[in-house]
Amino acid sequence: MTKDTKITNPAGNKHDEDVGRRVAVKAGLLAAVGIGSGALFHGLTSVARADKAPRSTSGPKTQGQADPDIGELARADVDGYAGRTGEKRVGVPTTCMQCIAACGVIGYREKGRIVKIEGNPHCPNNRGMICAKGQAGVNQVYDPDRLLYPLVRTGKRGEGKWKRLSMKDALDLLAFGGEIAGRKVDGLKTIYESDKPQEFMFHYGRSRIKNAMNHFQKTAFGSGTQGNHTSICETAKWLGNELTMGKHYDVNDAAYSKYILIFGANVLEAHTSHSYIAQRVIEAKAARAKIVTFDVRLSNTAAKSDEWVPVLPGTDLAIILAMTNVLLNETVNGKVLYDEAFITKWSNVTIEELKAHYARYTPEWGESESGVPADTIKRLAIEYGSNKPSSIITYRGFVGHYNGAQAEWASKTLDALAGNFNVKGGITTKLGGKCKDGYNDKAAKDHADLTRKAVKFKISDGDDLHMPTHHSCQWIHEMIAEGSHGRPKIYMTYVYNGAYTTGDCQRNREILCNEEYIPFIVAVDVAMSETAACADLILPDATYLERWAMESAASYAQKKFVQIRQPVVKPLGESMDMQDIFIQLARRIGGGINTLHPYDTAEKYVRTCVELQTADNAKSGKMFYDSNDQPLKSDPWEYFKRYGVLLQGNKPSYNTHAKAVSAEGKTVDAKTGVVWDPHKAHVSDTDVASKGYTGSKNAYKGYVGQQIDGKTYAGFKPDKFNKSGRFEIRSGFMPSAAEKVMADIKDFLTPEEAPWVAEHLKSGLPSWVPVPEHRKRTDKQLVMISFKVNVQIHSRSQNCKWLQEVYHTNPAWLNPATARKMLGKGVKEGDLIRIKSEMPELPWRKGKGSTSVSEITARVHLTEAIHPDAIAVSYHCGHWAYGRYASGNPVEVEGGNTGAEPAGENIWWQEGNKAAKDPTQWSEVAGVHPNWIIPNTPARVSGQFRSNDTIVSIAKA
Amino acid sequence: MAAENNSSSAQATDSALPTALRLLASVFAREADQPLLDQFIARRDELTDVLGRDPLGALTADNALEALAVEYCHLFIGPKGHLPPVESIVLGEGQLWGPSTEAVVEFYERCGIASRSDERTFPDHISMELDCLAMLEETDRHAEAGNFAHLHLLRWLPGLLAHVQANASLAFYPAWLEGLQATLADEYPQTDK
Repeated sequence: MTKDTKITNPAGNKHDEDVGRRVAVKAGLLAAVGIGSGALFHGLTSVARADKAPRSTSGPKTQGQADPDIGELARADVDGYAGRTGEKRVGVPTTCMQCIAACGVIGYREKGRIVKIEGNPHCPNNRGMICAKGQAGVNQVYDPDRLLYPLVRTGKRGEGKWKRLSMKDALDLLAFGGEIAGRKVDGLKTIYESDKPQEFMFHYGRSRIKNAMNHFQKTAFGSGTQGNHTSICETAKWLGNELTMGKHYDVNDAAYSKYILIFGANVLEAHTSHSYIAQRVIEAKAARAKIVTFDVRLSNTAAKSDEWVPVLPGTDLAIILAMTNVLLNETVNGKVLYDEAFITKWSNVTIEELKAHYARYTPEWGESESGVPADTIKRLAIEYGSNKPSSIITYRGFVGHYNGAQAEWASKTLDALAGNFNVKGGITTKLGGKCKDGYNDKAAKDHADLTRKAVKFKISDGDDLHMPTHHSCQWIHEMIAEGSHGRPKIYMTYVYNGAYTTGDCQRNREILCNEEYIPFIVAVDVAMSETAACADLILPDATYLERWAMESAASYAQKKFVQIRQPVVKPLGESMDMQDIFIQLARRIGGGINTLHPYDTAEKYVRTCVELQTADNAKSGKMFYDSNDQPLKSDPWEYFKRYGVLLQGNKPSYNTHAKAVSAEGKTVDAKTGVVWDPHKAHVSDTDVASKGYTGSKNAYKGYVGQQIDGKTYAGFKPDKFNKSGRFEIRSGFMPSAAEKVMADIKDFLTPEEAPWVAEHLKSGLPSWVPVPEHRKRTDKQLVMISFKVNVQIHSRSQNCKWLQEVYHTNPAWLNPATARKMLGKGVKEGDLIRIKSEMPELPWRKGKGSTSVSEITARVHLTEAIHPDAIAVSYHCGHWAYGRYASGNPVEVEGGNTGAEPAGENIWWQEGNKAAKDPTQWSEVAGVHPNWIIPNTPARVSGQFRSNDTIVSIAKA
Repeated sequence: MAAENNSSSAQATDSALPTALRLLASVFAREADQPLLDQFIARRDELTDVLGRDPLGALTADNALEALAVEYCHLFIGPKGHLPPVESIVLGEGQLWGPSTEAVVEFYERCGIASRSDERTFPDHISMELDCLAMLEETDRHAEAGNFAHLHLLRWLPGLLAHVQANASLAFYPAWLEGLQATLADEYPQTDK
C-alpha cells in the first residue's frame, strides 16, 4: 500500500490510510470463514488466452452473440469487412419493427453486438432502403432503461416500487398465482381450469405474432377477451375498405400512378407502409406524376407535393363527395371521367343512381363545408379523373374523425368510379404472402380434441357502436370500469401502452391502478411504459432484433412473399420472446394447453411453418421463388435464413377480382350471386334455405366467388360481414346506422339540412356526416389535431436516443394570424400557452365523454403552414414513464448526465432544462402529450379514436 | 474480529483479497439472498468493523431481504431513476453494450477470461469486473489486475457511488461501495504516485 495515499469518500467520511487494506483483508476473511468462497459470485471463467487482437469470430462466446447456425447474409460490400473491433462484420437478415411497415433489414453484428442496421435489398417492398427509425433500432436493444428482468410490484399499484424476480419465479407467479404486495391473486392455471377462461384478457400493441398469440389465448386457453390497438390508428379506414372492396388494406400502386391525391396521410414521413410507399411516391414524382396533398398542415409530404390544399379538420369527406360530383358530371374533350364499364359490371349501383345521389354535393357545397374553393375542388377532380391511372392515399388525418368511416367509404367509391381499382398505378387489394402455420395447421389439427371454442367478455367493441370491425381499444378501460360486460381477472398487455396512446390519460391511469377493477395486471414489454407502470408484474420482452417470427407485409411489389424475423443477437438479460413465454406458460398450466404447444422454442415453430408450406407446395403445385424471381432450387429454410425472404409469386398481379374461380359443388346465393361454401362457414342447410347468404351468421367465411353474367369471379372478397363479392358502393350495412348517427348529430344540424342528411344516411350510399361538435365551434375556438413526424413512431420510439436527439419536443403549430387574434399582437414564437379542451359532450356518452384533465400547456410554433382554424400538437412527446430519453429525466451522476454523451455533449439535457413534474405541463426537454385532453369517445360507426376532433381554446400561460 | 482471532493462516490472508473481491462482486451481482443475508446479520459486528459503519442500519432479519431487494431494484434495475451498474452506462455512453463493454471483453480475452456460458450479466457489470480482478489476483497477476482496475472499474466507480449515495434509502449499498472504492484505491494505487 502506498503510504501517502489518502482516500476521502464522496460522503465525506474520511478513511484512514489503511482502510482499504483493512476492508480487503477483513472482508476476505469474513467471506472465507463465514460464507465460503464457493458460494460467492463467479460470473467469469478461464478460457484459452488470446495473445493478440483482433480476435477471430470463433473466440469466446459472449452474451449477445447469436448462434452460429443463424442465417447470415453475405454481401459483396460486407464480406471480409473488418469493423471497429477488427472483427468480421456479420449481416443477419431480419424484419424491422420500429413501425408497422415491417421492412426487410439486415442487422450487422460485430463482436456479439449490433453495430448497424440497413435495408435488405432482397426484400421486394423496401428494396434495400429504410428510414431513420429503422436505423435507430439498435437503440431498442441497448436502451439503458430497457427492461432486462421480471419485476414485481412491492408498493401500491402505480407507486413505482418494484423488486426483481427470476424469470422462472415470474412465470410461476403468472401461471399459479400468489401474493403481490400483500394481496393474493389467481394465476392463469386457475382461470384455465375454471369455467370462465374469458377472465384472462390479452391486450396487444404491435405484436407481429398473431398466430402464436391467438393459438395460446383463444384456441388453447379458450379466452377470446382480447384487445388490439387498431382504433387509435385506422379502424375507420379498414371499415371503409371492408364496406366496399371487402378485405381491408388498400395498396396504392403509387410508382405507376400519373396522379396522386393524398388526404390526411403523411406518406413521406409516417405512413403505415412508410418507407416503401414513400419511395414509390417519389418514383412517381420523378416520372412527372402530379401529387396533391389535402392536409391541415403543410407536412413534409405536402411540401414535396405539387400542391398543398389546407383543409379544415373533419371536412375531407365533403371534398371527396364534391369531387365525386364533378367526376360524375364533367367531361373532358367530350369524354366522361368515370369508368362506366367497371361500375356496371363490378359494383352494385348504376351511374344514374350515383348522379342522383351526388347531385347535392356540388363543389360550391363542398366549399361551404371545407373552405376549399369550389374552383379548386372542380379543377383537381377533373385532373384526377383525366390523368389515369390515379390513386387516392388516405390515413389517420382523414379517418381520425367522427365521420372517418364514411370518408373512407366515399374515397373508395371515388377511386372505383375513376376506374382505378386493381389496375397498375391505381389502388389494389392486399397481396400478402402466407405460410402454413405450425399452430393452426398442425398443432390444432393434431390435437383437435384439446382445442377450445373461445368465449369472451364483450368489452372490446365499445357500447352501442355500429360496426367496430376492428374494435375500439380506447374504450376498453372504460368498459372494464363500467363492469356490466365482465371484468378480466388477469389483464395481460403485450407491447401495448394504452395508458399513453389512447385519450384521457388520467382516466386510463385511474382505472388501471384500481385493483377492484382488475386484480392482476401483467405487462410484457421491451421498455417501461405508462401502462407497465400500472402493472403488478412486468415481464421483459425480447426486442424485435432478438427473436423469431414469420412475417408478411402487404406487398407493394404486387407479388406475394414472406419474410423472416430472426435474432441478430441473443436476448439480453432475462428478456424472453413472447412466443417462448407462451410455451413456458403452457408447460406450467399443463393439460391440453401444454399438448397444444408442441414446440420447445419459437425458432422451431417458425421453422415448422416453412417446412409445412414446403410440403404443401409439393402437393399443390405452388412454389417458392428466390429474390430474382426464379424458382427456388435450394432448401427453403436455409434460403429464408440467409436472404430473409421467400417469394410466393414471381410477377406482379393486378385485376385479381377478375380471376375466374370454380363454382363446382358450391352454393349460389340467388339474391346476391355469391358463390359460397356453407359447410366451411358452419352454416346449416336450414339457414341456407331460410336466411340465405346475407342472413346467415358468418356466411362470409364460406365465400368462394361472385357470379356475374353467368361466370364466377374471385370478386372483392368480403371480410368481417356478409358483403357480396361486388364492389359495394351501396352498402346494405349502413342504413341501419342512420338512427344512431342522427341521434348524435341532429342537434348540430340546421333545420334545412337535417331532413336531407337523414335521408342520405338511410340511402346506403356515401353521404355527408359532419363532425357534430364542430358545428358549434365558435370563432374563439380551434380544432386540435395530432400528427406524426418522420423520425418517430407514435409512442414506442422515444427510448431511442438517436431519434430523441432529433425530435424530443413538440411545440403547438399555430397560424400567426390566429395567434394574433386569440393571443394578442404581442405573441411570439416560443410563447407558453394553455390549450383547454372545450369539447361538447354528445348525449350518447352520458357523462363519460369529457376528459379528467382539461388543460395542457405547450410552447407555440407560429407558422403559416397550418390551417388558421386548427392547432396541431404532435404525438411522441410528453412521456412520464418511458425511460430517460423519452421523459427527459436523465439519471445524474458525478461528472455529468448519464444516458447522453459525456459532459459537454448533452444537446437537449442542458442544466436547467428539467422535465416537468406534472406531465400535463410543458417540459422543455420532453414536450407534452396531447392525449390528456382528447376524449376517448369512439366514432359511432367504426369505434375509431377521434384523435383529430377535439375543440379547444387557447390562452397565454 | 473472529476471523482475525482465528488461527488465520498465511494462506488465508493470501486469499483474502480475491475472496474479498468475490464477496463484493456477490453484493452487487444481484439482490442479497437469504444465505448471504444470514451471514451478514450473524456477523453484523464484524461487518460493521470491516466497512467502518453498520451497513444493515435499521434492517432486521424479518425485513432485510425484502427491503434490500427493493433497494437493489430502485438503485440498479429500475424501472425509473436507476443507474445500471455497468461501465458503459455510468461513463455516459448512453447505451448498454457500448464501446466500454467491448474494451472490457477484449481485456478479458487477452487475459484468458470469458463470461460463463449461462451468465446473462453484462461483461462490464460491476460484479463481472470484480470477478475479473479476483481471477487475476488468484493467479498472481496483480499488475494486470491493477491495469484493469485503472482502465475500467476505478474510472466509473466514483460516478456509481455518487448516484448511490444520492439515491439510496438504506445504508447498505453506499457502505459497500465506499468500502469497495477504498479497497481498490489501496490495492491498485496510481503508479505515478
